[in-house]
Amino acid sequence: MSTPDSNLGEAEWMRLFVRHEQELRAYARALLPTWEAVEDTLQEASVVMWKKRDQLEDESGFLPWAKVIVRFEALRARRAVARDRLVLTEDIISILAQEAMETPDGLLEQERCALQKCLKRLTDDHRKLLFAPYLQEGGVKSLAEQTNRSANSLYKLLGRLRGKLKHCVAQTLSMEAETT
Amino acid sequence: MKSGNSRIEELIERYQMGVTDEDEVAELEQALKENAGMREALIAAARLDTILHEEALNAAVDAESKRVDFPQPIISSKAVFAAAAAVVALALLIQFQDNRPTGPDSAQALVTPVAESKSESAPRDTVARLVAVVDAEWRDDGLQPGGALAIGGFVLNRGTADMEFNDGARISLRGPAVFELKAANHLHLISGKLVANIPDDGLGFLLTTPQSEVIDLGTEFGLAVDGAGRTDVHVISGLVEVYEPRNPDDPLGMRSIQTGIKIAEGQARRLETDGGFRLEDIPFHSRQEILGNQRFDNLGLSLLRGSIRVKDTVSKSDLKIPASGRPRIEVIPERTGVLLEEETAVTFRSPGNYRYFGASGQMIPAGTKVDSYLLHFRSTEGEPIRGVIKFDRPIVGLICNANQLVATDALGGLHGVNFPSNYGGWRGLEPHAPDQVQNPPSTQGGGGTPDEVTVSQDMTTLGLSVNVHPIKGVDQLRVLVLSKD
Repeated sequence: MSTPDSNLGEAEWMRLFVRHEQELRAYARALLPTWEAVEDTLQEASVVMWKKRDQLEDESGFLPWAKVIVRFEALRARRAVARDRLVLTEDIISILAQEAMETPDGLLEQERCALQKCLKRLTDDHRKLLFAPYLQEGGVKSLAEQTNRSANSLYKLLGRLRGKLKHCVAQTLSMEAETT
Repeated sequence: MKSGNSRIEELIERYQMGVTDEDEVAELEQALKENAGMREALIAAARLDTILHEEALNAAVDAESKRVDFPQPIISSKAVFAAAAAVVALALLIQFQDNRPTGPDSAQALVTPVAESKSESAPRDTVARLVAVVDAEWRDDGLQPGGALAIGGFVLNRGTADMEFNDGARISLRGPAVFELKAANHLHLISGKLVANIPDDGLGFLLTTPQSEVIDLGTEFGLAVDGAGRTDVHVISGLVEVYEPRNPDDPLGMRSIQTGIKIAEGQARRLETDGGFRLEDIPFHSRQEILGNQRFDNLGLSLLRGSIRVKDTVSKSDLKIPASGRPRIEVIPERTGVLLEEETAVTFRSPGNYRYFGASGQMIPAGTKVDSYLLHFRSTEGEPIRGVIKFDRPIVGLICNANQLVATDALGGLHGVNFPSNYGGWRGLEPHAPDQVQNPPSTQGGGGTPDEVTVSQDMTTLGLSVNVHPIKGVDQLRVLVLSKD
């Protein structure tokens, strides 16, 4: 067990990273326009964190410390991505990085539980469309061909489904807050 | 026209999906600079995207492991399909009501809309379900409300019929009409009139006529096909796109989105195909004009399923003599546009599954304007009767308690309706206390099992299972929905 004046051991660092990995991924996602860039950033950031883990004094400081590293790596990744695609400017990403630091602990987990409930209320076809963009490049276009629809109409439908999910998550969290 | 915030939220979505152009990124950048709320929205959208990303990967891993370890059995017996079709309507109602947690803690539990359960339980060749008919006469016998509809051709000689597809698409037809169900997501209207309501998530639903292919963009619209090769399209709400039929030699050919003709809300077009694909403006018809007047949706009811019927009054004989034949829950539309001048006590007003009906202390605020419906049930059977009612507006309160019913008779009830006066506390639903759910007291008015009410998450759909003493019992409840006024 770590004490406030000791550095984290390897096992403790690994446990903390795994526990907070999704929060760090969501943080990076707010700063970067593609999942590829997010995954690269997280990988680079994890290497930096591992090397610098002796800077950490206790567990409670892990998430803010890790976010600072992710932020630095995300800005670096943004510059690489900006060579071949349209991205937001560094100024606005810096502001987003600052504000995303304030995300309350545990919010992502609450939203995940709510979203899982909401997903269960959709049909298999709808879930398939929602998941398509994450599973392969051009996943929506491929689904359009399979379902005999235009890709354009499926993108519109996807947008509406995501909007519905967002609404459902907010409503579910609000109802849960009322009952607690 | 989108509001400023929804436009930016759409841009955030597009940015994260990687489909924004240069102008859109500049617009998003500016909005994010100026508006902290939009920055918060982007950060929240990133969290949602992250969770979806994780769920997508988990689902893919699960699917792969099932594919390898647990091959799905192949069911080929037509007899199995036929038997499944026969029981599926009943199964749906039971599923709707019984698979829910009970008690006050579950009041906020997610209630699955009726339509969602079907795709999992319907046999493979069933693509839709007949949910309601009014004076319908079919060329083929045996089509009953609640029945499954399989792929094939249908002729509706007269009357109206409502069907619901497995993915939630809702089609109301007016006879005479000839149509074909071609697939789980495809209706082909050869002649006749229909109104289609395809929900936002009606993935891949296709409506075709001999002259056109209609793609719905989250709307409600009417179609009329006459014998002279013309298709009329009336857009009741939202926006639709109409295309020329696909080339039958190249059914999977991708069309350019620009070839579609967009028709906006409140507009109507007639498609002529003689001498090429062309259209002309025609006068717009409302849903009612397309489908005629013999419809329960004029009464604010958009779906009746199970043992439910609409009735215009409750007479003295209705109170004395249980309904003959198959018992049904009767829906009596009462007063509309009633302004509640003071707080009104109701039994409950939230989504959930309820099995006891004591006083809850819940109130509808003064100033709410409501339409009222009385639900009435008697039976000689002593067995639970089930049904589902969907209203076209949200329910604001349900009154299941006898004293609350009496208190609102003068408010919502129609003049000339006979309300029960000698049923004591048993006019409403039973039991009245949580501990009676498992151990119901010996009653005269209650049946052998507790009554049960389920209110959907969106507060528009009511699932009922009611049960009365064969001789003396009567069940009534009053539903107050938000007034159209």
